[in-house]
Amino acid sequence: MTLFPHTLFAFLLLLAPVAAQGGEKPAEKPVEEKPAEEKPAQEPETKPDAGKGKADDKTKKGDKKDKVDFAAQIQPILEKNCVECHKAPYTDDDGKKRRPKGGVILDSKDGMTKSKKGKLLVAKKPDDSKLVHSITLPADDEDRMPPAKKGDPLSQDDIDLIKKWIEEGADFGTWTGTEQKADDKGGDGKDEKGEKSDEKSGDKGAKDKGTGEKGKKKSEALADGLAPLPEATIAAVTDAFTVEAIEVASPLLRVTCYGREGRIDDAALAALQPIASHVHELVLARTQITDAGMATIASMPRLSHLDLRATKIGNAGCEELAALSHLTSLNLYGTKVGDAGIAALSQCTSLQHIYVWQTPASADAVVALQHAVPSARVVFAADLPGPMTREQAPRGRARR
Amino acid sequence: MTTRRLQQLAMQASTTTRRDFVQGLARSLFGLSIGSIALGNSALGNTRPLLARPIAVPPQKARQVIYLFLRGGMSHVDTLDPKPGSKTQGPVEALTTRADGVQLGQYFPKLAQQADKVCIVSSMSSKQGAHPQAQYLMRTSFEKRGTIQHPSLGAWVNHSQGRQNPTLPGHVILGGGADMPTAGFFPPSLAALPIGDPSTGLQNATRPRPISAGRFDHRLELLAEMNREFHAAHQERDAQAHDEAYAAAVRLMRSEDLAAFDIDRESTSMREVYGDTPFGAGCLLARRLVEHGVRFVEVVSDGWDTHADNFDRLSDLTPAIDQGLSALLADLDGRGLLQETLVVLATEFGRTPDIDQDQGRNHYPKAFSCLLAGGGIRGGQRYGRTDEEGREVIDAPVSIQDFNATIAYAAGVATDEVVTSPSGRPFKVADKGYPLTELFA
Repeated sequence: MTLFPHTLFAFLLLLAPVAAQGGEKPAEKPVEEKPAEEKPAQEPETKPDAGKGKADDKTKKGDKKDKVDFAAQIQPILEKNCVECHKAPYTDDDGKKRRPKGGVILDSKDGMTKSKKGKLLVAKKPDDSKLVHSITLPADDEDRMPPAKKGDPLSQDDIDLIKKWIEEGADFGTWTGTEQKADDKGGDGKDEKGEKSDEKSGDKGAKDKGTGEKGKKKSEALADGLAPLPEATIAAVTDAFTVEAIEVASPLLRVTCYGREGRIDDAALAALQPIASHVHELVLARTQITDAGMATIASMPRLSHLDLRATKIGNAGCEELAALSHLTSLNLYGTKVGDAGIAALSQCTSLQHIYVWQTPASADAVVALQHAVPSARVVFAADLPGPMTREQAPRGRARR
Repeated sequence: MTTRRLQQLAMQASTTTRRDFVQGLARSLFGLSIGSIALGNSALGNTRPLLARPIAVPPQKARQVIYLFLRGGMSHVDTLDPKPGSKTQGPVEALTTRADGVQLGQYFPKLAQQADKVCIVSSMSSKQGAHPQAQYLMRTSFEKRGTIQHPSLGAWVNHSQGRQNPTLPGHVILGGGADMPTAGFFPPSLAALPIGDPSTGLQNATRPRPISAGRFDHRLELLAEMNREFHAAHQERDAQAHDEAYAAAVRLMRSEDLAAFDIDRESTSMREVYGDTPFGAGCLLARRLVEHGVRFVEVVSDGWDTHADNFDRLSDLTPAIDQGLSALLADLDGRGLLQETLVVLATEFGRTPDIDQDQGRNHYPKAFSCLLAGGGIRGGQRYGRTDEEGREVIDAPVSIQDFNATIAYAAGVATDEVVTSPSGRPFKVADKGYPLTELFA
């Protein structure tokens, strides 16, 4: 009943070409999301011409000469001001284990692009890059880097240079910096977990790191090449629905309607059509929707999480959902979905979580679905404890 | 019309009925949070901004948090971190559970059946061994000081993530009694709505029968009219908060989700599954509230300060927890909510491995255990270790700040975001705590 990592891995591989063909990326995409092949392994000076495949800005621009060279211009600044405290974990001369301050590692490309401490670098967006944020804070801010006790603030020239480099795409050239060692474990590993995996193989890393990262990779692949919706388009539906980005800077949306379930019917649901292309998570639990509303949902190509708990959805509606090719979680708890609807879901091999407790579905249908979609966890019943025995029942002070 | 004249008018206008009603409301809804409407951004609700911020925002797995707090200090050796065969174990036996290598004290046979869903953090360690200070530390990540009130974790989560349900408070405490965690330096709108007895739900939250809807609206208009000039002249946080509390109360009164507070709507069999105890009722109500999108629900259980007759006391105390927690985990899982709901079982410190002459155990912050489940946490694991007598943490020590940072991380709160208090002091959600990201699946 558990997840099968290799199945998901295969699925991510299927998505990979989509990601590669995604064309223009949303500008706020952090650098770590670039597919590896977009970083040719040449010297920055001998960058290939635009003919070399991918339509990346750096190759389009052509004026390479003015481009900031990381190894020659940026790295020395980091080395001088930052790296003493922010280097990969190492054992010093006294045999003492040293770890990077705040878990921030600035002596390797992976450390900077895959930091667990947030988006240190967001390509082309210096203002969104935490690195720039830290070095430009006022001198009396306790988070200003370098800290007042440790060193002088960076010069304006250096700051401008770093900003320019990020504006140009935060290209590291061939530089990768200090190799990350995977010898940390337990509590020590918490800083470096993200940096351990080989950056050339996002898919491999995802496989190693378990379901959470896989889900993330998947949503990134789905978001690739997708421009965020205009605020006005979103604002048009926010009277009835709450709409938020699934994570910062993602164009994908999570849509909920808590507190307004009584007035969300099929017509209200149809109003989501203008944002249908961007909906990633949709919570419609306890709303008044019916099978007729499922057509709207079936038109959401990037839908991954669908929560239809305690609605009137039945077999006909469920059959329409089978067309959703990226659906990973489907909650049908307390719906009217029976064996026919369950059977239709067996085409939906992207599913990882299916909840069908308190439905008319039979155990046989659920078992058949489990066989058809082996990677999914199908929850047919809750493993509720038996009631308390008489002697366990509370007495006197236990009630307090 | 002068303010003075308005005040006179207000005094004339108040009748006994109105006053009683308002006082009742205030009692029930004190600190009730204010939603998007009063803040003027009803369009987007009180949600996370759509635009990027230059801070680390972790992937939010837990849309909701249920925080079960065992007040008084639960003995770790007898419950979550048994030491079979050790002289410190006393008469308590260890149970094997559904998770390999995870044992529980004999008081938790039902939880043992849910152990594949939980992560026991058995290397908690702090230096604070006095109840009020340790409880404060556990809930706020900061040492108690005279100069500032720190916000509780629930207030932080709501501050960072906003509310999911615009008509319900984002933060509710069940069975808390006195000494409640507060919103600290955050606006009072982020403080918890306290519900003393989960089985009676929310009191005084409906319009009294003799007052018609029209009269009620008229009174609210009158109130607003009387307040207008005062608010214009005194644009203070406290005055605004008072106004907001009224607005939120009225919104809650009209909410179609008021039924969320009523566990009488649950079947008898479901109530039995959670156990007919205040803690069980609290867990059941917590489940109902998270179903309705309430962000942070805390359930408090008292009486864990077992200085004397530790083992008899635990036999009395633990069945309610075993039943309620097990039911909650299984029920949330069946409803597909455990994935997105973090369940925390916490206590302020452990108890001495040595059993004293009163068959008691005393305060012991040096090593203790808490539990996490759902919300992206990988189940069936034990994190960290204590030595064979439960005295010292020997692997992967976890500070209270680390533990709270982990909760914050699960809930999508950036643990490195600095929030400046009105007095100009910088704070982070879990102080210098670092989230245990390896606990997540």
